[in-house]
Amino acid sequence: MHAVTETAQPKSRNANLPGDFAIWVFIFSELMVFGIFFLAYAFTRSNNVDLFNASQATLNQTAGLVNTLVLITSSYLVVRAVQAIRRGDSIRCSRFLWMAGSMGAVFLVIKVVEFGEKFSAGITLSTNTFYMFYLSLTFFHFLHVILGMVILFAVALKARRGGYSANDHQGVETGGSYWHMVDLVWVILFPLVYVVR
Amino acid sequence: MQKTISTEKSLDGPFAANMTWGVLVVMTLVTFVIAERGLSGIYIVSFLMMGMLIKGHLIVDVFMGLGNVKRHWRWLMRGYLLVLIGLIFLAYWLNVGN
Repeated sequence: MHAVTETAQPKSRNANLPGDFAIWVFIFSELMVFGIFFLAYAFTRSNNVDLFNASQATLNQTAGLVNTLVLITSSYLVVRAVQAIRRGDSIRCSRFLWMAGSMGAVFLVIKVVEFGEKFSAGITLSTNTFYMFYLSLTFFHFLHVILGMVILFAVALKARRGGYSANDHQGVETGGSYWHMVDLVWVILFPLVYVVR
Repeated sequence: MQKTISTEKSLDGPFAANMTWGVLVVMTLVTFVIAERGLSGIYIVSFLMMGMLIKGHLIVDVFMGLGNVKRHWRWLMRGYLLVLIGLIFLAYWLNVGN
């Protein structure tokens, strides 16, 4: 007789949303808010192209690049954490989540340095329309990174204590889904605000 | 005797996650090179918007795991990206030549 084990749970293309349904209501709401913000930026720029291009050129694109790589990698680590808990490996799951959350901290440090550069150059929300959008958009996203990190660390702690298993890991998927939303928003924000001109 | 079913190459397996991470990193580096060289124009904007769309789809389908969920959820998220990036592109396109 053969015992059959799965190395990763296969899913049909008819599965339900991963994690708790409530987080998806929250995620879609957040995406709507960010979407309106992005559209306001894009259409406001239409009337101030020279101002937006000149101000955009002062941004630290290297910091933007590093932060994008940090968030993408962090999101990847969350995927690995979910894969680990689906195999029932809660220690590995916890480690991946700690690493992902730590990368969130790296993102915050880089962002604080970037904000510091701008503030020390006398740039504030009222300097011009571009900086109003740049500072408010990136700060709003910054707050989401903090919330995402709190969620990841809380889930990591519970995983470490054996609170999740191969059959019961909805909390890991819920926290992970929120973190991917934070990544998704940044993947649009970075080219839009730092690059496209 | 134990028999193992490998689903490594499914959308929620390690192979898809590794590939997605690699593609996202390469696309981000390309975006950075465009930024560093200060390239602009409608073709560059189109290229960057297409990049945003592809990266968004990869995150939604593979990282978020929506590539495996019921069609209406998958398309709700894909539709969001299409409409949002389409409208952003429209804002830039309307401005060409100004």
